[in-house]
Amino acid sequence: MLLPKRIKYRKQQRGRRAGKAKGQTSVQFGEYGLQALEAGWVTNRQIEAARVAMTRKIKRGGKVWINIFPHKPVTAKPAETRMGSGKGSPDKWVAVIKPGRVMFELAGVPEDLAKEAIRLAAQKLPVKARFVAREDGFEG
Amino acid sequence: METMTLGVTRRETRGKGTNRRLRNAGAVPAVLYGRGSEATPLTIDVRELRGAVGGGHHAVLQLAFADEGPEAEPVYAVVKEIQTNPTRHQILHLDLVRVDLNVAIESPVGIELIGESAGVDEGGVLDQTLREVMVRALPREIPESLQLDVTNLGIGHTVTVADIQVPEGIEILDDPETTVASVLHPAALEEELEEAGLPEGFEPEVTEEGAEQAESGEEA
Repeated sequence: MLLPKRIKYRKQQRGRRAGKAKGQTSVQFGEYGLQALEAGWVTNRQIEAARVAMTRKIKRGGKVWINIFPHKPVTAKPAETRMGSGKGSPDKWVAVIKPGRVMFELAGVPEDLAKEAIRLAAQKLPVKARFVAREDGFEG
Repeated sequence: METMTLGVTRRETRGKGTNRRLRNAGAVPAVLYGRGSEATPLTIDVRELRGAVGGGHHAVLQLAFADEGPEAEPVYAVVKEIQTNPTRHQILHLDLVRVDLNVAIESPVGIELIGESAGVDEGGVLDQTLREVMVRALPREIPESLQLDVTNLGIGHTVTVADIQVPEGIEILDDPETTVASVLHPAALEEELEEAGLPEGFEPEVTEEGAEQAESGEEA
């Protein structure tokens, strides 16, 4: 599971998710990628589930890159607790995703297999996402 | 690199409002600079632009200004930067830099791997780590891509920038030792099937500085 080894603060504020991704908006390492189309929080469990879905589909044929990392702790209060008494304890780790971000990349497999693997990975994520290829041109 | 003609219009208007209206009307704002001349704001028709930069290929562009006749002195330029909307693949703005056809320029050129490598037939995975190299050449001599044959590449073997065959008049500026591609061993990839990162339930260590600040914050 992806999570930081060392952190400065145990808890963080929620922050904002306005705007589009500033960087990593194109396929950098592989040949194909999975690009987010909306903003959201992707947890480390979802990242792992997507990675497993992709690697199982391509079996031993290709290489997978994970371009996102869950840096942000999210807290939660225990079930059936009265409100108050301060912020809850850290519950999960999330990556903040904005539209345009290429989250996963894939190489070394035929395009149809890559499309299918990426479709399976996209199903594990809480944001709308699409398949992108390195050679995608401009639509004007 | 081939030469293409691109029709451009000088642009008097500035600012995001007018540029948005231009984009909605099927044009792209652009700027031309370089070789000691003042920056000139331009407007380019999106359909013309698609032909010139559509597939991401870089050509030497001969600019045809709408307010000048065919007898005007030709202006040559290459694309320096393309700003795009990441979700819509739409060109937002274009930077063109003037070139002199007799003066060498530096430009990134893609590397194309050709052939089916022997290592892939044995079960390895071809991993291309370098996709572009910087080259120095005359603008018209810069190739669209450089080819690198990987037919004899076995598992665990690599090809470097030094292995790229370059035509005469072209100089590669990257370090010759840089790896372009390698065939990864299947065993190295099997590790990926196992869980990545740290075990579940791992508690990250809080740095001393952060812990002290958190404590002093609680006291206040």
